Amino acid sequence: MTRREDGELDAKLRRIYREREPVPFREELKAQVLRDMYARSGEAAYVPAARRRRGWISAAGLWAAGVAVAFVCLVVAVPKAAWHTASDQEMAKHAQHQPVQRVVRGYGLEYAPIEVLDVRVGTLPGEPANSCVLAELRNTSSQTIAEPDVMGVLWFTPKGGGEENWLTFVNAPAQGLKPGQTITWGFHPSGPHAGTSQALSETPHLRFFYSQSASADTANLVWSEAPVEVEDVQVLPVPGGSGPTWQSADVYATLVNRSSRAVNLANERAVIWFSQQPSDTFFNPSVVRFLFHVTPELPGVTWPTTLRPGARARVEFRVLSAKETDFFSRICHVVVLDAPLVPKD
Amino acid sequence: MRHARRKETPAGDAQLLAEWMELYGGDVIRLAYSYVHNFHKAEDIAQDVFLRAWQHYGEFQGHSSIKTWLLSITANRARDVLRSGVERRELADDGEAFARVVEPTDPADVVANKLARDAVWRAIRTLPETYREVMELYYGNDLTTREVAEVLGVRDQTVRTRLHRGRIMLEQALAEEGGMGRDQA
Repeated sequence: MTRREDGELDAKLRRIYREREPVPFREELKAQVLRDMYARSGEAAYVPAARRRRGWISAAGLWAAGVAVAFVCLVVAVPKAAWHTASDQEMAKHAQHQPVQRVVRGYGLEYAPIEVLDVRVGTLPGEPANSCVLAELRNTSSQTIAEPDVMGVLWFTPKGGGEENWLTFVNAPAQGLKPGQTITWGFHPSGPHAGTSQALSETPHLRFFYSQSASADTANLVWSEAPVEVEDVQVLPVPGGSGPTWQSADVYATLVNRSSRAVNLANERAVIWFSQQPSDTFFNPSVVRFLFHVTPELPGVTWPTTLRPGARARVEFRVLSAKETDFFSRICHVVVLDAPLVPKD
Repeated sequence: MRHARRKETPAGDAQLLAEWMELYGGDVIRLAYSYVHNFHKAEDIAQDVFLRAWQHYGEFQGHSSIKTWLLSITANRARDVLRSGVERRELADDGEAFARVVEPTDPADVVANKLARDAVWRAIRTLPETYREVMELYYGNDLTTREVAEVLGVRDQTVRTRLHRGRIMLEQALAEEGGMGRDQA
């Protein structure tokens, strides 16, 4: 190779390397590194200047030796960057001598001032009989509530009573709610809770929350993050999985049990959201969000019910949304939370 | 061990660490990827690199830039991982995962460019690690030969030699592919 040829190849290589896409350093990865940093430093959590819009809740409790009771109360809202996790081993070590702080990662939710009355199974125009949930919503505040201000959770319990066995995010009325106004709200869910006739056979429940993370002082409910790390999230189109007005996509993720105890995935819930910005949480009104049980629903898809410490499971969820939803140009996030996510009615 | 050079508060640590990840996270993953050719493994290595950097910041002498120092840890860590033998069985990714396609408008050019680019990446991947790592650091990270030498712990002249030999090997590999390299760029 002559010097000139060497120079040409040099220039070409430089160009080719420069044309590469920037490599993302995912927010989840950053958070994991910071979490590990705190775990290794063994220092208490702190409240740094907020760098992100993500809001997280710490819960602190007393952990007393030989007493299987923990008093958990919210102490402070901190960004994810400030997570501090005390491992079970650390706790056990300290438990012999003194109370130690236990920090739970999670999201704080505050009830929206929407009174929900007469939640019932009914029929919306164009939908199969008794395949919808209807309710009366009343704005109990003195402010108009716009649709993006709140997010709802609709869930079902078995007819004879019992725990939530299916849940989904829902929106508030598109037209908003004026102070004191009452309107009838309706939603057509799809999922395994419905029989082949699509008629709903279980008891629906509905609650609305502000669409923003709540501080410790104002949170009515905390969605605690499970000790399950989510890796390798992929979104793929579903062959034939679209219609004139809707489309579906399959979300794949690998769950890793990072704790020292087995995790029963039947007791976990997955929140999946598609955002435009990496730092958007599922609270952000611009995201497309979904709620799932972490149990296989799709035909032919299986994964273990129990995740042993250190074990991994590849899971799959099918999300459904309007045709115009840009699933593939958004960032997909998956987080696993401990059930229950819904309040006791 | 924690050293005096470290900021004393966890808040300071977190801020510093977050800053490193923000600025150099992509470079670290890319370099790790150039060794293990598996994005998830590269992320694992990157995670480890930043934690190690945080733990050993007190030992950082400041003779090189933070980036060079982080890349040096990355190269060492990636080699360790490869030496462990585990990762060799997992080199599953196909092609250069981070190569961007800058498409010309003429379909013929599109095909020609893609073929040429693919051929180059294929050829780069056939290079022995010694040459590939130098190329990645020099071309991929825009480091000088001296900085590459710092990262790899070798002499500047060694880097220059490896770069030159690497290009020769690349040229030969491309010629064997059917002349998809220099002439069609």
